[in-house]
Amino acid sequence: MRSPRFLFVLLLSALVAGALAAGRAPSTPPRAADVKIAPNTAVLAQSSTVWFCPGLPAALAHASARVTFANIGDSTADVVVTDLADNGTTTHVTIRVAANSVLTKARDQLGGAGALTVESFGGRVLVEEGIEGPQALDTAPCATESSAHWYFAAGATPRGVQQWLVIDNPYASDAKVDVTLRTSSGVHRPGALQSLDVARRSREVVAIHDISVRQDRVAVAIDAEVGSVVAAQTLVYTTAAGIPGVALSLGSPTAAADWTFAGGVAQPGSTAVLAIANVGPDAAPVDVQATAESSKQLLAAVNLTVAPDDVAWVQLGQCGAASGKACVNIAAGVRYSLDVRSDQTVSIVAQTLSRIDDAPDVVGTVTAPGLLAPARGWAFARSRVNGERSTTLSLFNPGAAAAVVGIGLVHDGRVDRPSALQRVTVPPGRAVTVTVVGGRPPSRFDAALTVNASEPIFVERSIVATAEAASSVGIVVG
Amino acid sequence: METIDPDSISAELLERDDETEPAQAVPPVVVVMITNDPGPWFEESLTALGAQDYPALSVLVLDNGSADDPTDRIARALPGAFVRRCTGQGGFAAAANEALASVEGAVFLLFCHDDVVLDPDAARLLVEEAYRSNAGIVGPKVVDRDNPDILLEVGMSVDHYGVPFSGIEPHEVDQEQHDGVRDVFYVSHAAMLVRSDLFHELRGFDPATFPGADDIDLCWRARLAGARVIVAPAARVRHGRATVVAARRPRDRDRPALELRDETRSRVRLLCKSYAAPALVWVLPVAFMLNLSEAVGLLLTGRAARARAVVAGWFSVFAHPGELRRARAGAQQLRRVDDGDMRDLMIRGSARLRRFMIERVHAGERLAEVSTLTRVRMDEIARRLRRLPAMFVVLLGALVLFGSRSLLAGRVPAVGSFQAWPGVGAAWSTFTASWRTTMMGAPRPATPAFAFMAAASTVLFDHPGLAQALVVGGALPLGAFGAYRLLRPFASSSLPGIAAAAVYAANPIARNAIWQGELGPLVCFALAPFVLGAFVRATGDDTPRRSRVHLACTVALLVAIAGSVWPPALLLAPAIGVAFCLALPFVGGAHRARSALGGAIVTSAAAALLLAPWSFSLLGADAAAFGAQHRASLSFVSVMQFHAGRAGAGLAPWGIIAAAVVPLAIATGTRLAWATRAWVLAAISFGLAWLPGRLSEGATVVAPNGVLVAAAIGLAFAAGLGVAAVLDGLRRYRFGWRQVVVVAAFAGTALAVVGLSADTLSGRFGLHADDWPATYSWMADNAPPGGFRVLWVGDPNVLPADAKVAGDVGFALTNNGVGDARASWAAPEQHADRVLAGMIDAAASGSTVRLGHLLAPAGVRYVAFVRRAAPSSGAFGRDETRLNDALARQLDLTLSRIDDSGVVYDNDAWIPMRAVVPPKNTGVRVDGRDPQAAAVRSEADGVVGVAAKAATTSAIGPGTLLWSQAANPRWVATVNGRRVVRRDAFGWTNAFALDSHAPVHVRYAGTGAVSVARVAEIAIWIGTVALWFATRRRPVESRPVATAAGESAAGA
Repeated sequence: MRSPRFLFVLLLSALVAGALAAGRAPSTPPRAADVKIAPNTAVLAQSSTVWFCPGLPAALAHASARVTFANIGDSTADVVVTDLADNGTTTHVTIRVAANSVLTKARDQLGGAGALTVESFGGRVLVEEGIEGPQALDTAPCATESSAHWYFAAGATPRGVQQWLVIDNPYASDAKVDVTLRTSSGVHRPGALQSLDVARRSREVVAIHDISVRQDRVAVAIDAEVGSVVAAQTLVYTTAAGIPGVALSLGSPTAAADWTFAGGVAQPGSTAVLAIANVGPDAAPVDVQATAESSKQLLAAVNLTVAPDDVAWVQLGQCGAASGKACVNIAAGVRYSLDVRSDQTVSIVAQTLSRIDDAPDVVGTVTAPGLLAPARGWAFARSRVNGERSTTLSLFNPGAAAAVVGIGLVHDGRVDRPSALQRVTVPPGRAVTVTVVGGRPPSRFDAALTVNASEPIFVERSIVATAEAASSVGIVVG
Repeated sequence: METIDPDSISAELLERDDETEPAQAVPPVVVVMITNDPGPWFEESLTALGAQDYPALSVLVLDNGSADDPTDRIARALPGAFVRRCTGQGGFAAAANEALASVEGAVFLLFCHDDVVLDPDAARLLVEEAYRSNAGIVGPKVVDRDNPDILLEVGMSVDHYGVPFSGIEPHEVDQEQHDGVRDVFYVSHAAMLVRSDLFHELRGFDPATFPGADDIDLCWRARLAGARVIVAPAARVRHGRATVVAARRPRDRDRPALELRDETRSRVRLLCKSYAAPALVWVLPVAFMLNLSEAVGLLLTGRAARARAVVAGWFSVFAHPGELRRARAGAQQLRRVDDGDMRDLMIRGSARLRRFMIERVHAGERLAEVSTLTRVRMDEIARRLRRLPAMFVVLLGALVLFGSRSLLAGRVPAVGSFQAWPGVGAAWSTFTASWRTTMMGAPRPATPAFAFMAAASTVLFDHPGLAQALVVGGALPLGAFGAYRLLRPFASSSLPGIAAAAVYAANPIARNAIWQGELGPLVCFALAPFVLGAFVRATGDDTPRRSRVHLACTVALLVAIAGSVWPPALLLAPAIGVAFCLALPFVGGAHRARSALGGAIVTSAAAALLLAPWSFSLLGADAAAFGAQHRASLSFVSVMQFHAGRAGAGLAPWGIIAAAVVPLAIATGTRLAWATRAWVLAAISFGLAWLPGRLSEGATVVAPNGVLVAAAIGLAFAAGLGVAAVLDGLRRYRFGWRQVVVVAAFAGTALAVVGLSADTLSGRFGLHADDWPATYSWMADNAPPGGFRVLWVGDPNVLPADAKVAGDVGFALTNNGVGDARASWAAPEQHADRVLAGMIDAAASGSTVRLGHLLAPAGVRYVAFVRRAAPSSGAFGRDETRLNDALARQLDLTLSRIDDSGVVYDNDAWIPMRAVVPPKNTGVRVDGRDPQAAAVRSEADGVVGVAAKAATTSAIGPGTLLWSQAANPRWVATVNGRRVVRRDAFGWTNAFALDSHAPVHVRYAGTGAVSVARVAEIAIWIGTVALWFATRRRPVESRPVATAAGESAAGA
């Protein structure tokens, strides 16, 4: 029996050795994390069915608020709008949105002032909210995701400027948040804004300008201790601050080291700034690189260091009046894109804020949060507003290969694809701005815009009306 | 003196040598002396031959090419000798082979060198010993020619690589210290008595193995042919060391390179010819490496020519592969003996190294002293150990009971499948019902485990908690007892059984199963030793048929019991059968393997029959119905350590492996065979526990603690056999690696027991007292009319109910709170369960934010997301952050309770399980066909829960009665004895149209087949148990199937 013994032991040893060798690494790679389309506040995934619209502060005329529902799908959609009114009442309105159509409702048709939760059943529905009024125009996508963190880099509370923060808790459980203000005079964590309860299915509207008074720069961060919320910020410039205007923006749910702004224009008579908030514990060396649309040459970069818990503003153009402040030298009239990068991957938040006074061409206040990740598919729920003068899309291609872009206009049950908006080539590392609504008079229909690119790109929309302007990032389409 | 014709040598030689006594009285012996240029000693050698007192002795001198013809010298010294002159080519072997043709009629041939002087009685003593020992080849004691007090050889051995070894120290004085007749590997042909017929059968020496290995080769082949080779030290010869011996042991520096090459070639040829093919796989490479090392050593010491010669010797062997193949075939044709038996006579390690040790440092004496001391100590230890079994039993029992004290004395925490057992009535009605209420309900029979629960609770006067505690707390000691009993037939001492019990009890899987609340694996752990024991007994060659029937009944009943709790246990018997078959090439016993496999198939089928109709309902069922879930993959090291839970980390589990290795190293015969089978069983178990996870990360697998039960009992079995082998066999061995292995094994076992001891402190083997039912008992408070369900989501392995999976999310439903064991052993997945899975998947993937609405038709009032098996203890499930986030983002789920281990949400949109929708209510889309679409838009405003008693509701209606069980047309509702119309609600539950206000009686109208099947099932159980009893009256005699020598009538 000795020989079989040896054979058996040999075989057993070989099996064990083989198993030990094979056991070192799994044969199948670990399951990939769920694919995220992009870190964006508004993403129309195949499965997305709910939108959260925090709404405008009650101080603004409720009747001027608008909510736009665009169904870019081929089937009719039932949209259930739940109004979480500030007075505590909850109302439901069901709206049917035909396939390939756009429907804009006055906010007061959907209930009292408050946040909206929009659920869609069928179709592919995009939702934007905004304001349309004399000297008050803005429209921005609602959010498809809530988050425990929200950041706003651009904000100010000088005389005549109101900075409103709206925190929406659409869920059935209460949330508790901390609000941090990073201002030109340092970081503040007001006691009233710590462990702030946001009751289930309600919103909290915070007048930042009453808490952080007369600050040139105010960046806001919201961190939820419990629950998950959606936050929006509205900047209201009254006549006391010069040209009146409203700038509405959803926050950024994350801080990052690299931010991109697809489109901007150095308008004569404008004051455009890039706000950079450092939300991390380390100083952030930041490079701000502008690229002109019309030239392959890079514009001179600006390097600055943003201290921890500080917020810095970099002027974009008009450097002659900057008087020693950080400024990106962009000639008047030049369209540009921006790349904002923290050198040591310190997390920052970037947002632009422009006040334009190039009357009669452009007047208004606009803000745009930066974008984090490019995508091949983008959409906007609407293309025109009352008093429309023009709507443009800025397409920035961050990749190494040229992107070929096609733009569709979805309205009245059909999708128009004007030849001028097809096969638009965006060179690598460059931006292209196309006008989708223009001419005199501009087209009368309001259309949802769909952008399909052969390469991942960034897209921003600008709407210029008679006495105001609006700028918005797009909705990523998965 | 004359030179004769070889063809006529025999008769004449024998006649002429027969002068003093009749030739017929003693067997004729022909001395074949090979000479080559003999020196002055030659005459003395011849004279000694002439002086032999053996009466029938003839002498044939074969002159092997001497330059000077020695015939005259021979004639003068030994006139009666015959002389034949050869060419001298081929060396000693070729010359000696002349005897094949030259000698006829001789019974023995005594080959000797020309410098050997035989004592006068040497030939006679050799022949006598050949007869006495029935030996084929006999060798004498060889002493120095000039100084007969100095020993040269008393039989020879070789190492595994063919290098000779005498074991005699240089100048060792003959004090009769080696004077015992014994088997040796070979004797040198300095003087070698060979049975003539054997010599012819072997076709003489192989000339190609000259120099250096021709005598080894002859003796090896003789042994292959089954002949004994012995040394008879009483017969003494004096050897001048002028030829062979001297040539074999010159000082290395003096050996010519050519000779070294030829010796190497001879030795390699010897190995190639003599070993069986499997052995060559390792012998040749090792031998080559040794020679290569030698060559390197020679090279480094400036003897390049000799280094080349060593290497060249290897290659010259294979210069004529065809001839080598034929030579090997010839040798292997003789084989009647295993290589293993050959190796018993070989020395371990390197002969060269031993020789060096003996010659240079006299290590032999020291080793002998150590060996003697070791033997004495081992004897002493063995004697003491035989007195200790009782103490071990007491200690082990106390340890296990101490570790289980809280389980036995207190409540079993409702962790995993340790959910509270229902009372007798509830358990029995669950068993007999034709509708299972697990998940969304299913028209499937329940497992007989509920009948066992009812029976156990009945015996304990309706105390299900105590019955459960006894099962959970008693599993470990019962398993240990089974392991003890398994070993009883294998040794007269109880110590092996106790060792097996200790190793089995110390195995971490039982503790891990308790900690994780795995009732099935735990029951399997308790019963597996008895199943294996029944197999061991049933496959004995002399087991009576009647006893085999009894043992088959035992296996079937045990497997059925284990299978009722954990369906994969039905594969235990087949696994054992397969293990027996896979061990077949190593242990033989085809009949036993066939018997085991056949028995496994029969008993498994019988067990499945005993579990019918439940077992049949599992055909084609989802993996979860068999207890298979997504589980984290175990590394092979973890599997080997049985580290599938809290216990098992560290070195302790390796002690079990170490203990189980012992019999593979030192056991023989039956014990080795059973140890091999046990290891094959363990290997199968290890493979099944490891491979699925290796092939697919996070694969759907059954509980590793259950799969590893077979490995646990296999290793415990092997460990027990090892102890048996140690007790009986180790004392016979000299000090060496065996003792080291044994010490390591004992230390390992002790280490494993220490690991067990450490886990006994809590009294529950790490299982804490808290559980989800206690933590969430508030759910059942103020239960609303109509009843509700709780949806448990998370890792399916930590949910407090039998879970199904949606994607990779586990989910389970319990009724009116946290539920009890009735939520265990969920029925195979039904359509309604898949609908529910789709809804959970939609929420987890972010496709809906209205999970509460979707779950409303199922009556889900609470959604509980749990992260671990118990609130503050228990196993953690895998990270389900995505699910957690998804639940937090549902618009209709309100956070109710939150802590580190779980989150509970209230479902704002829930509808009671029994509810009435008033007429004209359009908010509830009862008739929607798409379950999700119908539910997501339904609002429960105005829907009223309905109280019910014994399936009869209070007076309700008119309207629509929602009955939240899986849609099935056999659900029947009657109002005042009148059947009302049933339709599907929401596409997956039931609705009854009520046109009046009256009590409603609702029941599931199952088929009579289920009742008949239940009756048949009970009858089969009773019949099987009766048969078991009937055949038990004449039990198999318990006697050791393996004796001290390791062999028995039972065979391997």
